[in-house]
Amino acid sequence: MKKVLEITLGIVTSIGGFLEVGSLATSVQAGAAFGFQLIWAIVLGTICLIFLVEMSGRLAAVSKQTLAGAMRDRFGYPFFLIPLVAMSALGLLVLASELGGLSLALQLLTGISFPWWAPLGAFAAWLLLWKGTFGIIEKGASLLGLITLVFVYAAFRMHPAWSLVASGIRPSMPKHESMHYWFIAVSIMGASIAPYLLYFYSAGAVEDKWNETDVAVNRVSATLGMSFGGLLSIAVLIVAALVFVPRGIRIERFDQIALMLTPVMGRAGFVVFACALGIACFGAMLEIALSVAYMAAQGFGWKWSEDARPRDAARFSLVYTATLVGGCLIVVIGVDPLAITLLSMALTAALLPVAIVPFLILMNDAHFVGQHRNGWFSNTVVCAIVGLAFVLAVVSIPLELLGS
Amino acid sequence: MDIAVVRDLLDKQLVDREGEALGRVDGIIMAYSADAPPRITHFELGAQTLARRLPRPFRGALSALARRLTPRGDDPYRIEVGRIVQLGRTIKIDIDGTRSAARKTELWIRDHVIAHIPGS
Amino acid sequence: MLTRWRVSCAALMLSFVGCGGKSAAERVAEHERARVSWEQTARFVGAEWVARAIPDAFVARTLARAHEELQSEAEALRKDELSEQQRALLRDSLGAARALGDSLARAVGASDRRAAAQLVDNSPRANADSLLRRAALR
Repeated sequence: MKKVLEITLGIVTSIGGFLEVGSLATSVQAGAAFGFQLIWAIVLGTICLIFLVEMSGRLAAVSKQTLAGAMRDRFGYPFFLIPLVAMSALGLLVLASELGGLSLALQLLTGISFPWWAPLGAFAAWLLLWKGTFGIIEKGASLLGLITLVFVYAAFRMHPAWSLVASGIRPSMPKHESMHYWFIAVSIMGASIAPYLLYFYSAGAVEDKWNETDVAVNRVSATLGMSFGGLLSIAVLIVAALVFVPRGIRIERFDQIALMLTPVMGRAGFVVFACALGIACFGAMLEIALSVAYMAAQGFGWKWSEDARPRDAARFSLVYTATLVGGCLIVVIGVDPLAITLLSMALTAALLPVAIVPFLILMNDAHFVGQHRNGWFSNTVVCAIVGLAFVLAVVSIPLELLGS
Repeated sequence: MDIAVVRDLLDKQLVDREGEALGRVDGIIMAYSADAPPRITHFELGAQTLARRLPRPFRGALSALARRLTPRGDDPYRIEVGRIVQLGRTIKIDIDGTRSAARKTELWIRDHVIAHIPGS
Repeated sequence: MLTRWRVSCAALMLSFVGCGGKSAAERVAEHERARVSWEQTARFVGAEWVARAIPDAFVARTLARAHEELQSEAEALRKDELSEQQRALLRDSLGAARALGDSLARAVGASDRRAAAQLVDNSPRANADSLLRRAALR
């Protein structure tokens, strides 16, 4: 019974925490530009994420080490600097885009203009990290995040042709704007396979003192949770396709996305969209700031508990504070939030091998995971999808940048 | 029990008597003498140690940065291997972490940065 | 050996540039798409505002944004190498789009829902239905 409860909680927090500005923006762009055609990118990205999240939990449960700690341990320094610097820089960019999303949400709700919300949002996130505990943050943000289920509701209410939706699961070649198609496909995969989630997940598992008996539970909750999460992204894509394609609207600015739910739900749709966006982004901000701090603290051996008071984990607290300040600065400078979101998602895809290859090596190292090593299937699937994402990213990012 | 220096010692997490984090083994100091085999004498922690492990072009930059950011007197901190209590996933050292100089940077940041922020 | 290397690199670069470059037809299509997109965005927010689904502040801002974007489109059109005929056609539809956006913005400013309804009444919804059937998404 307790296992069932654990699994359920795991699934619920995965669903609630799944959507954030990256998956929202990329799914909406995909739906508006290519209808149902890019659903396969969400499916591929989600499958890969399922494997990676399960691996992250398994690593923590069996080796009792976090991903970052295990990486320093196994690969040593200075190699560790490579993923550290890459993931931190990326984390900063993604954090900035989440903060941009949060600012937009607040702007939609209050009508007050954009740049002032960023420092406030960053401060609110900081306050929660400073004073809150890990449990509250993880569960609170995820439970509130269940509001994003409204997209599933909207998708059903709009009565898509489900057979057409299903056909989008099969990868297909674009009929127009090829470079843009592949760029969005890459961005979707980068949005789905968020490396920061892996560092966060393993840290949480260690903080919750998982052991080998939790491996099976983790497998179920990671698989089901992330699968439902992926369905959420697909729902967003479906709604975007049904709202924007018939009107011929291309999504080039964040504001246009705000209209997504009004055709189905009227005024309530506008408000709910803003709330869902805001909550999803806020939750993601907390996770990203923590992930960057986890990587640094665990990699260098500092104390890193989120439950501890800031003065008892000084350098750890300093890092997440600095990360939030940095993200805030990027937004305040005035970089276009949608552009930064899409670019950071595509960059994530390009940098995936840096994060994932060491991870895979760890998962095949008996010294860390004992008999719970990866099977050939997991290795193959992850390698294939990450490899694909990387190749697509390397080709499409420069061309998209050149073309725009 | 066989101990592989790089696999089991280098970059491993160090914890104190209470199991609290002390840092990681950033460097290993060995003593050579003409009439005895080389032996490990100390673990070394610190940013300067890390700087020395970088490829030559980067060493200078990180070294200078480390000198700026660490409190004065934070020379690489050394722990005698005799103080090892337990070797395993982490290396337990017979030290009172709250007073150890290994935590000098941590304590400095706590007192000069974190303490000034309310609610810490 | 080195020369062969240089030639290969140059060929690779050229192929990338070739991929990046677009034909006149593609550029016209792009201009059209951008114009339609912002014109329809203006219509969309106008219609939703008439239905009282969105707040005034948001409509005003979105219409202002549409105005800016259509302006940049006009700039881009001026700089693009097209035939006079193509350019004139595109310029006219851009002008019409901007006029619609501006009229809507005025109606919203005056809280005149009736005027706004008339402006959007070229039926984005009716258009939407037929487009839907064509797009066959349902």
